[in-house]
Amino acid sequence: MSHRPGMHPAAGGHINTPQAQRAGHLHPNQGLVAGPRVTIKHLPNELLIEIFWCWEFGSAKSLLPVMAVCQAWRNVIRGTPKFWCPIYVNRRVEWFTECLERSQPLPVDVTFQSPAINLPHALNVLHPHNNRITSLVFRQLHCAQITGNRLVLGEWPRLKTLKVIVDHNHAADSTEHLIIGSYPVLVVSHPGGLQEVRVDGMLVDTIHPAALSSLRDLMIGGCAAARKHVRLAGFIGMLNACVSLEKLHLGPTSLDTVIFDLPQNVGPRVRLPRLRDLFISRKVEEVSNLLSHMEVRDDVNIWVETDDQEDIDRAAVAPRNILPNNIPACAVDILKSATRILVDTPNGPYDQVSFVTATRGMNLDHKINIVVRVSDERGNARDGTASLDAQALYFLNALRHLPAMFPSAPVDTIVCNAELDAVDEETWRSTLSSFPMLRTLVINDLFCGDLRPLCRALMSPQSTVDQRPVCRDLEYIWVRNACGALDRLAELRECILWRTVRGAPLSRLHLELSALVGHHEVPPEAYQADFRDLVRECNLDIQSTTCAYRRAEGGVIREFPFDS
Amino acid sequence: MGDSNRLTLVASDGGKFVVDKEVVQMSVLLKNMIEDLGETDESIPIPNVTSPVLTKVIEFCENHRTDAARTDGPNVDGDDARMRTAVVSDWDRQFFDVDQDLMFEIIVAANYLDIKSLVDVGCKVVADMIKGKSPQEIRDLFDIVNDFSPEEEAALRKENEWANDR
Repeated sequence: MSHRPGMHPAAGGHINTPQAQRAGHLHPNQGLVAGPRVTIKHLPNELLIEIFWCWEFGSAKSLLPVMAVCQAWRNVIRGTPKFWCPIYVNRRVEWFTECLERSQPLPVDVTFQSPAINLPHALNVLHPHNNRITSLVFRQLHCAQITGNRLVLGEWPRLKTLKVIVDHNHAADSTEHLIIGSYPVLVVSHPGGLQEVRVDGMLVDTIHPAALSSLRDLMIGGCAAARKHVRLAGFIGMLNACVSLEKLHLGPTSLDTVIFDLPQNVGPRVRLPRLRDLFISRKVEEVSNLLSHMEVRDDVNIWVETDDQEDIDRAAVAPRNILPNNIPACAVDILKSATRILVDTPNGPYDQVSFVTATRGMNLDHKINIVVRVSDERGNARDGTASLDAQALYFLNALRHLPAMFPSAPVDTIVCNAELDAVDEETWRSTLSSFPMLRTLVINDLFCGDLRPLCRALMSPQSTVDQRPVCRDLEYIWVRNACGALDRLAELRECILWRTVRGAPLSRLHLELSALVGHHEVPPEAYQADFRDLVRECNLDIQSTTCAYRRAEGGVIREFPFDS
Repeated sequence: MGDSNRLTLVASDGGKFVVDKEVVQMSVLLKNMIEDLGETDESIPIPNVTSPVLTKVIEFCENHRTDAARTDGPNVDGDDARMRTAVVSDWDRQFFDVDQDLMFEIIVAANYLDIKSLVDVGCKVVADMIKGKSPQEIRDLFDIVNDFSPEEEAALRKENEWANDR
């Protein structure tokens, strides 16, 4: 007589109170029956499976040593489908076939790990299981393995995720590719439930527009040095087929295959009604052109990023140039509706050297981030386009271009995380007068800079026609790390007084200034009282060191009045 | 009439254990039973669990009685995720620092009594014992006989070869 491991036939005790029997919970021989000795050999299969499941980390391969212990364990592992999915495919089709068989009937995620795989054969092996494959990942496919430069994805009714990374750098097989110069195309030919597609080193297309209609997440990257052979209208058409798209990620070099053969704002537009996240990283002019052909609501989180900048002057104007040329005519809504702008040139060895971030209201999930990149080497060395001088120029230029970048936006807050000394009085005046609805101005200075050019700009009329103070609604100034020497404070006080008597008083003033030893001849308390006479809510703090540097995260300095 | 918050469990060898109902209710089996029985002074026999094992099981339940994740809580991630994320604390490791026979008896008893947290920890401890060992070392550890035929050994080798061929 056979019995389940852990069930000893000799022991038949059970809970036998009348109530228990009525409750029907326990029966003779149910569960554990203690024999003379319980060892691992007596564990029921369900417990063995739990033990192996604790141990198994992502692939059946790791369980091979356990399978080799004894027949019972081998049978338990072989007979438990969940151990066999996900499947990691190497070049041995036998292993792949075994895993597929043993994983039945569960849904499986298949990852091709080896570049040396026979792709057509592997797909043939897979196809009989196509109704239970939910994810297909090709990690390192040689482009030569893609026959006719097209990877046609047929009918995979349950496929949700498809990731293909094509390697173009293998020497022997790349000749044809290098001559042709065109990247292979992933062709999604059948409508299904595909939700996520990530391709690197290839393009995406469809012969059946509905095939992309379920897609929620599309990421394209890695098409460096490709011959341009996709016309912009075709690329826009492909994007428009993704009607359910929520995330679009066009990584560095992803647009290298696209011929920008349409002038800005002319021709078809990308309309993705469900889009929530948009990431575009590429040459400034190409991103600018593509954005001019896109309709992007202001509740979309946009991140646009330059390629690595090697020229300081080009980098300095990149934040403006990466946006469409004619912003009033474009359909990137946030450029017209932003109320808060952050200009940030981070102080540190970063490869992102300049940010302009704009949000609508307090909603930090809906914003545009414009980022200027340099190479890692430049960033780490802090030279060339990542030098301090370059960053000063970036700040100056960003301020100069803000009015053109957000021409009709009702901006009420500007936050600057940069070197105050980089900006002259005229630039401040010009920038401020372009945002007449400004109510909050935050300066987080890097180097104990001079407040006086800003003060003088604030003591200007709005325009030659309107003689009221510039930004007459300005009510809150917050300055960190600027120089708190006596003459600077005196000029700031004069500025506030000037605005007050002209009907533009401040209601909040927050100063966390730095004054090196010997630079503040009078104690700050004296000035505290003086400022309080002018500003209802005033906080003056002068320290002999600079305040801790705060870097923007995701394009936002959270401590500052973006969300306070 | 006895204390309504406590009840008596009787091990297979007759050993009696008076425990708080709250502690006992970590066992889904006993919890359901107590709910069905209602107020009763009758002791509950646990015929398949010996006194030494029941002592350990009660010790575990006493120590984990305040754990947030109780058996009656919703298991949002499912059993598989729960198993993989189960954390073995120092106390738990010390708890299972017993001879193998007792360790497996505790795990089997926990499975029978449906005490998920004890099953999880026990399985994790055993899995950790196996980790990094060769098949022969595992056999030696648990006194398991290699019952593969030469043909099966060959098939195993081939499977290993397939799996490890990159």
